[in-house]
Amino acid sequence: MRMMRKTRTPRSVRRVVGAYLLLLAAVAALASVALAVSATRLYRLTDDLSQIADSLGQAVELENALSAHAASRSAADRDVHARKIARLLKDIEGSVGSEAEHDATRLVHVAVDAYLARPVAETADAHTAAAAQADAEAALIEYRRLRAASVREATFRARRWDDAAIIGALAIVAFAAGVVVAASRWLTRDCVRPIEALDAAIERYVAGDRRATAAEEGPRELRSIARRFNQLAAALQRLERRRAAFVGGVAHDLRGPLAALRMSVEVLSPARAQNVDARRAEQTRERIGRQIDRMERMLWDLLDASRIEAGILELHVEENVDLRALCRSVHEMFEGASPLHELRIRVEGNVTTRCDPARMEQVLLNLVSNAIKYSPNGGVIDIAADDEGDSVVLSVSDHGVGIAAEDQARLFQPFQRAGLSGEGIPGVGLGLFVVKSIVDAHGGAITLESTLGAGSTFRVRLPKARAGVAVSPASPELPASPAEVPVVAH
Amino acid sequence: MAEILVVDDDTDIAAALVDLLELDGHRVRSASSGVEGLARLREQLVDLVLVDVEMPQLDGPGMADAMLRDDRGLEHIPLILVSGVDDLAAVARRVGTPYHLAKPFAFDTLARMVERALREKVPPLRARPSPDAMR
Repeated sequence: MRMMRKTRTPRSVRRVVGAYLLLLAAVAALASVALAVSATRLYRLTDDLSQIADSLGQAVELENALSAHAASRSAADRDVHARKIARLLKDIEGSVGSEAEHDATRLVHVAVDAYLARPVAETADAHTAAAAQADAEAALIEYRRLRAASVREATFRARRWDDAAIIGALAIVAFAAGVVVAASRWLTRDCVRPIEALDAAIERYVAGDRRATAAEEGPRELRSIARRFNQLAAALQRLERRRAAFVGGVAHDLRGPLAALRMSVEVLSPARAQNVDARRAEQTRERIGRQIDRMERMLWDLLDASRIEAGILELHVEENVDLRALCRSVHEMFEGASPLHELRIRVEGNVTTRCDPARMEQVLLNLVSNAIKYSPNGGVIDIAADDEGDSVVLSVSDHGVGIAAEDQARLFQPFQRAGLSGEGIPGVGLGLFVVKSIVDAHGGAITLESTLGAGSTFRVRLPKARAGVAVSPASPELPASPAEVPVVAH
Repeated sequence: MAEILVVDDDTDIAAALVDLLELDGHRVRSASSGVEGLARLREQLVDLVLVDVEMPQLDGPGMADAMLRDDRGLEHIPLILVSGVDDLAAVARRVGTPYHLAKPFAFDTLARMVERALREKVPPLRARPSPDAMR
């Protein structure tokens, strides 16, 4: 049984079950053939026996006919008997027999003919007629003796066949039983047990063991199922980890505004009222407002990100949106927000395009606040819109700390946070993930050019013509590979 | 009544901390990055530094490292690590300071820790790598 170990390519269920059915069918066929052969044989023997019985009867009749012929007084009588004798002779000669029996039959024929040929006149030699009759009878007796021997022989053969048939039947039953036992063991091992194992693995998984895996064994289809189940489980786990990272990221990002909020409220507490002058109080109130804005933006980003993940981000696209106006309104929003930074706008050419204006404003806002974050020592931030024929390019540049090449691709993924100790960027958050998704949904592309220590430039290219590829639904096969955003690093 | 430096890239948190600590009677300055923080320290030593962990260019632990390697007295200044990261205790252990606080915190908690640090004056302790290990 060991010889069927699975070191070769797995067979399909059809072939496994088919092989076993074929085996059982072969055994059944064998049994049927044996049965048929025995039956035919025994039938033949029976046939032989009945023929022999018939011919024995005929031999006796022939003897009687001869006697009757000898005893008849008239020629007419003798005729009748002679015809009967002829008929009986023919019957006897027609029955099958051994070589010896055929010889005996011939002798009978010769003797009967010799007897019939004898003249029967009163004057004839009565002695010769009687002698001929005696010869004929002797030949018949010999014939009957031989036939009787055939009967004994046939009976003997029949008994032998009977025994053989019984032994054969027992052998076939034993063999069939053996085959059934072996087949059921093989089938159990090859098909039933792998199915049970797969079922058990799924059962364990459903019961909560998230690390349960199914062994890839058994016929081809079963291995395929086991493999897919394992892949699904792994993808689910990745998805869950992603979700946990997401939630963790949100929690992390909220701590900043919450801390600032709590301390601001502390400043305004009655216990300190007499020490807090009007200017400080006003600054604190503005600070509180800013934290609320920050948290509100985070909330919208979170909602957007979750819609993007679910594949249901919708754009409200308008024709002929003037990006110049968009840049100006964003510029105004940041007026006075950061005294360390100077925001400049540059617009070239015809920068109207088909897009969702609210979303593109969101994109610009995000990029500008990013630029501010990445230039903590202040400086110039350039907002530009360029007409490049079939597309427009929005860009936001800062002259801040820059972003390392290995970190650039991760920026566009949600909550990708590098480790600590100078390993990377603090709190990436959701902003750029949402930005990229919006740009992608417009059929556009976002690129990043950055040099550590010199600054960064984010460029958003929007096709002027038909925009809008719907954001594809997140499949369990995500997270996206980092290679999705083309990055240009010096 | 002490000299305190607050280092955090979140300007709102830094400003609020400055306000509250000043209202408590300390002299407080702020910096928005590890680099700027070191610059301030080189201008004038302080009694205590409150430093955020996650900052661009040079983060909290990085700044602590630089302070430790300095030999103008920066290595004796106690540090309070303030942050929203999950494993702040582990980071504090690596930096070698016993003082750390997770955001968001109640100011009372911070005030107590400030007072404790100013009283105990425990600077970050880290095993200096032996010359053999450097090779």
